[in-house]
Amino acid sequence: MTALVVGASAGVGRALSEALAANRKPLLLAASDPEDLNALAAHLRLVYGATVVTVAADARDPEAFAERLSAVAAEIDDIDELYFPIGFSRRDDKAQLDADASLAILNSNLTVVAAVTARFLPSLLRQPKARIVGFGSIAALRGRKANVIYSAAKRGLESYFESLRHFAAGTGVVVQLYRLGYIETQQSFGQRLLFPVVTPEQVARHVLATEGRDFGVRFFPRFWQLIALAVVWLPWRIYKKLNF
Amino acid sequence: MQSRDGVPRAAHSFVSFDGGVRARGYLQQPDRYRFWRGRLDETPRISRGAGLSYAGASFLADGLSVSHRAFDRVLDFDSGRNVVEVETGITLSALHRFLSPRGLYLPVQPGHGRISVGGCIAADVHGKNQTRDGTFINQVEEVTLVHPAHGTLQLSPQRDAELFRLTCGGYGLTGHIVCARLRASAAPIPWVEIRAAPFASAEEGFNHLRGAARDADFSYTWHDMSTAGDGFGVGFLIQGSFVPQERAPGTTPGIAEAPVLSADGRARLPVPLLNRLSTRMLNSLYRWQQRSAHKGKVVALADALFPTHKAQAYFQLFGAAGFREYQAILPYAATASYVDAIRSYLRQKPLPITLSSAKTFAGSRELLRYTGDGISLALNMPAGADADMFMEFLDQRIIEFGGIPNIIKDSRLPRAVVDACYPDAGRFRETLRAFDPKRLFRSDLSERLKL
Repeated sequence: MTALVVGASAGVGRALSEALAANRKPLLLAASDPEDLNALAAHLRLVYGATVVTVAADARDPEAFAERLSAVAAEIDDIDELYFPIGFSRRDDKAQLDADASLAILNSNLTVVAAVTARFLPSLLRQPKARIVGFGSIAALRGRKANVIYSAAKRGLESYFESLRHFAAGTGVVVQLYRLGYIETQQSFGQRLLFPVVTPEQVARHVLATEGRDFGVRFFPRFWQLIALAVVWLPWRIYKKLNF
Repeated sequence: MQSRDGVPRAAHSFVSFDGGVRARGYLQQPDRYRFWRGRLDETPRISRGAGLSYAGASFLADGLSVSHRAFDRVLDFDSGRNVVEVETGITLSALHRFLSPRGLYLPVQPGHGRISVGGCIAADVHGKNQTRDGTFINQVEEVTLVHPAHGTLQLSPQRDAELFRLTCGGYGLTGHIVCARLRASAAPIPWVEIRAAPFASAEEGFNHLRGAARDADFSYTWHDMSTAGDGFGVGFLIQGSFVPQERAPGTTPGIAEAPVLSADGRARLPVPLLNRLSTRMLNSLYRWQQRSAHKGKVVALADALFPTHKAQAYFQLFGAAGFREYQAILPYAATASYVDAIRSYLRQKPLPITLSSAKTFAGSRELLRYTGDGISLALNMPAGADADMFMEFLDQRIIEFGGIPNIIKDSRLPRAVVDACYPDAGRFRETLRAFDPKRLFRSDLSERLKL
C-alpha cells in the first residue's frame, strides 16, 4: 500500500515524505517542480531504500492535477493514505488580489485537495484501513486583514474535512485535520512571531504518531488551542484594533 | 522582506564562530530549486552552510547570506566508483551516516559533523592525515556552481579546471556551490584503534608525527603549552588506525546525530572560564584522560572522525568574548625556532594557551589553499588584547620563517600577512576578478583581505 503526499517538495510535505520513507512506506509524491521532486525522490531511495514515484503538476489547475495523479496511481500499488501538506500564500494577500490571483490561492489550498480526494475516495472506502490527512492553519480561526484569501481557503478546508469525516464515518477511513501553528517554513521565515515556531520534522513526527486516531481536528502544537480560544472570543471592539 | 527572487530575506545578526566578528546583514533560506534557476539579483552575496567558520566567511555587513540548509540531500550514488553526489548543505555527519553502512568514508574532513560539505569545499579543509590524503579538493570530482552572471556551471578537474581550482578553496567567492560529486574511500571496518604515545618536548612530538603520518590513518599531536616553564610542549602523539578484523568488536557502531553547534550557542556563557589556572587544570585533566589510550583504545570511526562532538563544551568555556586560533604551516627546518619563539614570548607575557595541536602537511602551495610541506601547529587562546598582541607576534614569525597562516581559522588575519605569506594571493585576486568583474560574492573575510 502506498501513501500519496500532495505538496511534497518542501516544508511539512518534505518532512512527512522523509518520515514515511523512514517507516518503509512506498510513496507517490506530487508537487509542482520536477527538479525538487527528483532531488527528494533520489534522497529517499538512496538513504531509506524507499519506493518512490513522482508526479510534477500544477495545483492551480486542480482537475488536470488530479487527472495526472490518478493516471500515475493507476500504474502502482493501491493508495491507502492521502496527505495534503499543500499550501500557497502571498504576502500581498490583503483583500485586493484580482480573480486569477485569488483563484490560484483557493485552488492550491482547497480545490485541489477536494479534486484529488474525489478521485481516490472510492478506493479508500474499500480499504479496511485508510487515512486522509489535511493541514489547516491558525490563520483560519478568525478573518483578519492579512492573508485574506488564504484564510478563507483554509477555513473552507476545515469545513470540507468535517464533511469528509462525516461521510466516512463507519468506514475504515480515518479523516484528520491538523491546524498548524507557526511552522519553520518560507511562510514564517524572517517574521517576528508572538509564539514559538516548530519544525516541519516535529509536525511529521506528530502526524505519524497519531495515525488511526479519530479526533477530527487537532491543533499542533497543542498550546494553540488556548490561543485560539482567546482569539475567537476576543470582543470585536478589541479585535478590530489588532494589527496582525 | 520580500525580494525579487520571491524568497524572503530577514535582517540577521551574524557572528563568526570564534566570536571575533559581528555583522548585521540579511539571511535568505531558499528551499526550492527554482531559486537557483531563477534570476538572482546583484546584491552582494555569499553562501552560508553551517555558519561555523572561525573567520567571517559566510556573511557580510549589509550583504546577503544565502543559506544552503534546505539543500542537504543525497542525489546519486555510484557504488562501482564509490562516488556520491550531494547537495552541499548536507552535513558531514549526515553524509557519514550514508557512507558508513556501505563501507565507505571521507578521509578528509574536519572534526565536527555539523560542518557542511559546501563549507569544506569552499575552505578546502584538511583532515586527520593531510600528508597522505591531501585536502578536501582531492575528494571532489565535480561541483555545480551558480552565479548570477554565468548561470549554472559544472566544474571539474577536466572541465574548466582553473575555475574548479579557484572554487575549491575559494572561500565561496566564485558563486553558490550547490551540488558536488565526492569520491569516498573504503573504510575496511567502522572501528579505529587510537593510541596516545607520550613525548617530552614539542620537537620530539613533531619528529614522531612525521613517521606516524606514513603509517597511521589518523595522526596528530597534542601539546601542553599552558605554561612556558618546565613541561612546555610535552604531550601525546595520537595515532588512529583501522582495527584488524580479528580484533574488531562484534557489533556495528551506531552513528548518532552530531550535537548541535552554533556560534550563538558557543557564546552562551557571559564570562569566560578559561584563564591561566583553569587552562593548566584543563590540560592536566586531558593528559590524565589520555592514559587510557596509552595501550590503545577502540572507538567508532565516527568518533575518530569527529572528536569535537564529545568536547564541544570546551568552546563554550571561552564565553561570549570568544577565542582566537592561530594555525600555521611551518617548514620543517623552522619548527624548532618557531616553538622557541612562542615559548620566549609566553615567558615574558604569559597567556593561557588552551589547546596546541600539530599535524604534518605535504603539497605545493597554490592560490589561497592552506597546504605546503611542514608542520601545521594550531594554538587556541581566549580572545582579548593580549591574544591579539600575541597573534601579531606570530604573524611576524610566520613571515620570517616562511610559513603560511590558515585563513579560515583567523577572523583577524590582516591582508598584509596573507600577501606576504601566500605568493599566489595576487593571482587569486586577478583570476577572481576576471571571472566576476563586479565581485558579487563577498564576505567579511574577502573584504578584510581585499579579495
